[in-house]
Amino acid sequence: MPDSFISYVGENAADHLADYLKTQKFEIITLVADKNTYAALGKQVEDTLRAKQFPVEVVILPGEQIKADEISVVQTLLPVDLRERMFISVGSGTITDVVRFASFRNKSFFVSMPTAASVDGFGASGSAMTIRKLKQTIISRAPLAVFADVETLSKAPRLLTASGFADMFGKFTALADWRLGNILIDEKYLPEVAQRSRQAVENCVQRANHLGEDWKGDVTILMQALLDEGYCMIDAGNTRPASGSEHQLSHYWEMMLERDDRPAVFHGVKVGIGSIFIARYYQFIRSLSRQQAAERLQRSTLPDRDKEIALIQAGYGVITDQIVKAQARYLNMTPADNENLKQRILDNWDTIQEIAAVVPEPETIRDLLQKVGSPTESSAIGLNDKDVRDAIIYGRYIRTAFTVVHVSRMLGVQSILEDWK
Amino acid sequence: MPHRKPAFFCEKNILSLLIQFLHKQDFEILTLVADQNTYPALGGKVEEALRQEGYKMDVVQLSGDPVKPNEIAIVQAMLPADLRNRLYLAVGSGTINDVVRFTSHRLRLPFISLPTAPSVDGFASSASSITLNKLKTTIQCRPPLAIFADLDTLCAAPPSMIAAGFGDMFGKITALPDWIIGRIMIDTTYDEEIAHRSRQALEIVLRQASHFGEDRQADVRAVMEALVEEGFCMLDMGHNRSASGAEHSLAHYWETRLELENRKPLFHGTKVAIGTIFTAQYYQFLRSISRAEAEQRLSKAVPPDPEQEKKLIRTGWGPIADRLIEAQHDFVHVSPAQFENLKRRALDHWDEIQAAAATVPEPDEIRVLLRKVGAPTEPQEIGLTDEDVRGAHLYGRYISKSFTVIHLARMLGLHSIMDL
Repeated sequence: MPDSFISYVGENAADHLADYLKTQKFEIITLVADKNTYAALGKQVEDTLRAKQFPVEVVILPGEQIKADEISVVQTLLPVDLRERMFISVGSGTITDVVRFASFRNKSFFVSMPTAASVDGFGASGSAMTIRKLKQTIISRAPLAVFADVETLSKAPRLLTASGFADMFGKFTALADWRLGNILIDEKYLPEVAQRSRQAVENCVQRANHLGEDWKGDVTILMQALLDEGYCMIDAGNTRPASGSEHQLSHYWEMMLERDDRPAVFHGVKVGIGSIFIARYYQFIRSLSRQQAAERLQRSTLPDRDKEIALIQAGYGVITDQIVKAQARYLNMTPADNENLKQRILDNWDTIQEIAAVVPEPETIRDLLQKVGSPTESSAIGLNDKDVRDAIIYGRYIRTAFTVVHVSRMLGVQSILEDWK
Repeated sequence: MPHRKPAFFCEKNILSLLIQFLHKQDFEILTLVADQNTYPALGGKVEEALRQEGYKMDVVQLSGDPVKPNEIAIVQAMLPADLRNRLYLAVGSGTINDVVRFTSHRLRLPFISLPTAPSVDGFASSASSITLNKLKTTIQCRPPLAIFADLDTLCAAPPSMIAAGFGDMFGKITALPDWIIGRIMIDTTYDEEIAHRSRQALEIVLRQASHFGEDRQADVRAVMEALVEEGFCMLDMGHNRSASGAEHSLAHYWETRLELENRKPLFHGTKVAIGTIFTAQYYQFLRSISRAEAEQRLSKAVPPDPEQEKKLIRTGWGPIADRLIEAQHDFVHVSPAQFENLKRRALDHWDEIQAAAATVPEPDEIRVLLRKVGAPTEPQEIGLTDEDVRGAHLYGRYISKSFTVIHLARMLGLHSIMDL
């Protein structure tokens, strides 16, 4: 049975939640929030549920900046006993990911109450977690339902909402990467799902062009688009409709900032900036004729395994072993595999050009981000030139998805910053 | 609600017994949790035997040497969990058991303990001793369904771990009279039968220690059975006074201090053994005092000054001081009337207190027996400094809500045995 969820985006979400919970079987509710989201919505939900005689216990995750890590998971499970439990996550992406991971492992269900339209992960079945310092997506279960309170969303910090839009604008490159994976290494591709994801992005583009005329309407459409992405990922059975190489850059930055104890940056904001860089790769692809591609492929050879591992070591340090294990698919390629892949690139060159043609110019993405108030320069979010260079070189090792970065590398462009002007 | 007592087997070739037991359990898949030492010692054999039986299994090898019982390990152990009915197997000593006890309980799943060394009395425990946010905490969970101790594996355990198991048992020398003092002074619930069982387990171990080394299997079996019996006593009693007194408070102080200062951890029982020698010195002091002298000393005693006590707790326990100040409320805030009552109780039961003190051997006798089993007896042998020892005497008692010989000695004017 495909994992799916009910969703509601509108006014008085707490009352709708209470009505919904009357139809569910459990002995006790565990509401998980942090200090800020408890004040923004959690308290109101708790009061509403208590007034309707639901037994509620509250976990406030400690700290200013909650991380989706081991500490948060154990805090969430600390009050747990053997009773049948319903978890409610009140917060943005991080808290939802923590509760998704913890409730699934406790064999309990959860309901998500977003406090900001900030990410597309509310309805996901995978949890984006940092486990043993490695950012990874871990199989869990989608929420039973998402109840999004528009009043709360509209009062969320502006940058969180901007981050939601930016997460949506990352789908241009994600969708293109997905199709590349399909035609070049046979990854499963669902045109209908891709179309829905694309439509959700278009809805956001339209709002971005008139942003602020009807703010509640804006956050409603954005929230619905983010939830649509959740449905797309559930239907695809993976994150490819919503996540490509722009997310790899974002994940790399996220891990690096955390490792070096530097200030965290909202997920969507990083994705937005990542997608400007990835759009340049597509620009590069568009600039090549088939003849040029053939010449470039002719010159390229399979990367040396030891050198690759040395690169991973340079980029990832202590978690190298985990990465090397996950990258087996690429590290174990034989020269023959590589020749096959080159041939497929050439055989499908027209399709590759079609795919690249629907990715907007970097400037277009930059404009959209500016309209919604999401930063467009890496320096604006505290990333220096080295951070950007490192993400471009090392980001591709973080996940196993086949992307435009892989294709470009075979076409002689390792780093879009240095190898192509 | 009382916990069901785990089944316990300590045999050679434990695997066939384990398999028989598993046949009767209802589950879809096993999760075996071990570390880089216990997997080769026992985990690998268990995995092979159970796979041959056709059981499905996930294997988690906890990272770190030694493994720390913290959030990282807990989440690593729960990572493979999905919606299937799972049975956890904890293959290792105290730490791995604590991690699996917590993880499996929070996932509402049962676990079986497969000890790899007879090192602690916690195998049968319902509580898990884990480090959350870098602070040692005891959390209520569930005991294992069963304990399968493989005699050959236990015999092959590092001698220092076997010695630590003896050390944990030697702690009962002072824990048991401390329990009596707690009963007399603050009405700690007490049970003659359980005290008797714990005492018997201790005596078996003391006898074994006196001819330690003649028959390794007999040594290991005796200490393992005694440790598990102590666990059963705690389960039946619902608290740990039958197995833990002032010697454990001293050990906990060292444990916390080593961890906070990022120093090399020591086996639990190793610290308990040294704590027992110190606590036996308090009993030695107690035995030296006649009723008349006690009366005279008590007449000079005044209730603790709450501000002074809080200051001591803050000095001694740093980051967990606030939690302890709350937990120690009844010891910190003692009214003059309550204090007079305590004095009267001590005097009214002086003979009983002396009888309890009489069960504690001289510190040197304890040293000799510990030496025999290969356990360190002096703090400096295990890297504890004079400061560490002084701190344990001054601040150790605040970690527990038990009334022990250290509390009594303090009322009698002895603040630290080091003052003698």
